[in-house]
Amino acid sequence: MAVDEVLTESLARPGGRPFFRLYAWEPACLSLGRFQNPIAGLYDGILEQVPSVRRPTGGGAIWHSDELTYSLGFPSGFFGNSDVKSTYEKICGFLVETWKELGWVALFAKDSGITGQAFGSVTPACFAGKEAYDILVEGKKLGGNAQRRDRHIIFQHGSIPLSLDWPSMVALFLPAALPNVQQITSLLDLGYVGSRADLQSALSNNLSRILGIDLEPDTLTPHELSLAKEREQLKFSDRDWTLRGAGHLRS
Amino acid sequence: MKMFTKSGEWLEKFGSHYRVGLSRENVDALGEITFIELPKIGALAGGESPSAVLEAVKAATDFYSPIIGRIISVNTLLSQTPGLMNSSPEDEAWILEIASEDEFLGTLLDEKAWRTWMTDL
Repeated sequence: MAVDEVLTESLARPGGRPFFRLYAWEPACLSLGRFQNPIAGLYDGILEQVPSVRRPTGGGAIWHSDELTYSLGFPSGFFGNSDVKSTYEKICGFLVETWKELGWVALFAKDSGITGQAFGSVTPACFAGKEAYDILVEGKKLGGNAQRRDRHIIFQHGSIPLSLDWPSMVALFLPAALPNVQQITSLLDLGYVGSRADLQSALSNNLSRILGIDLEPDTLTPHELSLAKEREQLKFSDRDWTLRGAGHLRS
Repeated sequence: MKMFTKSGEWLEKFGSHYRVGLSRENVDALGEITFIELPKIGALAGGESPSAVLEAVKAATDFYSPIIGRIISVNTLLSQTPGLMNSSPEDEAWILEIASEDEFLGTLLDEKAWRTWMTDL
């Protein structure tokens, strides 16, 4: 989270460059949405027992264990006058195309023809939510994605579960908050047999193609690295920030 | 009379202060609003820093006041019922009341001009 925050700040400065990151989690960690109240949907005291962090984006909690996470940042103007839904659809296109290339039926929930279900619910567990722009692969929700927007920048990140750690999720979320096991999936469940490196390559290539951009490998500058470490220590590792955010949480 | 910025905020004068909020078009583009982080009364509004943050189902997005001034009131109804933003964004779901020396930020359009401009986009 600290690296994303620093990269977003760098992007906002004159000469700043858009970025795309792919990373994994070690150790496994629970992330909370920016305004999520941790007492809603999670077992009491669970944040004292597992690594946890508060995201800059909204939505519900995610248990990040065996997954590939992406994050990216672009200037707002890159997408023209596109609204949240339109930019979301444009950006997530690289995910949908990657899943299609792997031979799966992949589309947004809004295009699935599913009837009789209300989209737009906010849930304590991100994967339990049903939203119009959820990506359904073979009919089930694969991962979750969310944006953070300010005047200048669109930041988006998402979780791509390679496998689902059900025992941990059952231990974290109250029963009523758990995702429906019949409605979510992972790459393992879908039969993915490629490597993590192959997946990273496919995602990067599709992002490049769909957005019409060239991706160049890069690293944080020494200044960015130093800032990220400081931000990690002072903010994202701070228990008060994780538990209470900026002080205003959804009830 | 309500005035709109090209980025979709609105403001309306009430006596000595202004009410500000977000246009119907901007709220519809965000989707269902699930939470609004409101600022402290007395804080400065306007400029580069956002005055509020809106959480929608797919995005958390900053709200920037279209006018520079001091916040004299926040709409606490939005804390209890964020969905009011979706049902009444240009009436009951005003976000802030600001005392200002008429320091507007950017070009202001009346409602007809704003809606025409949006249609032409």
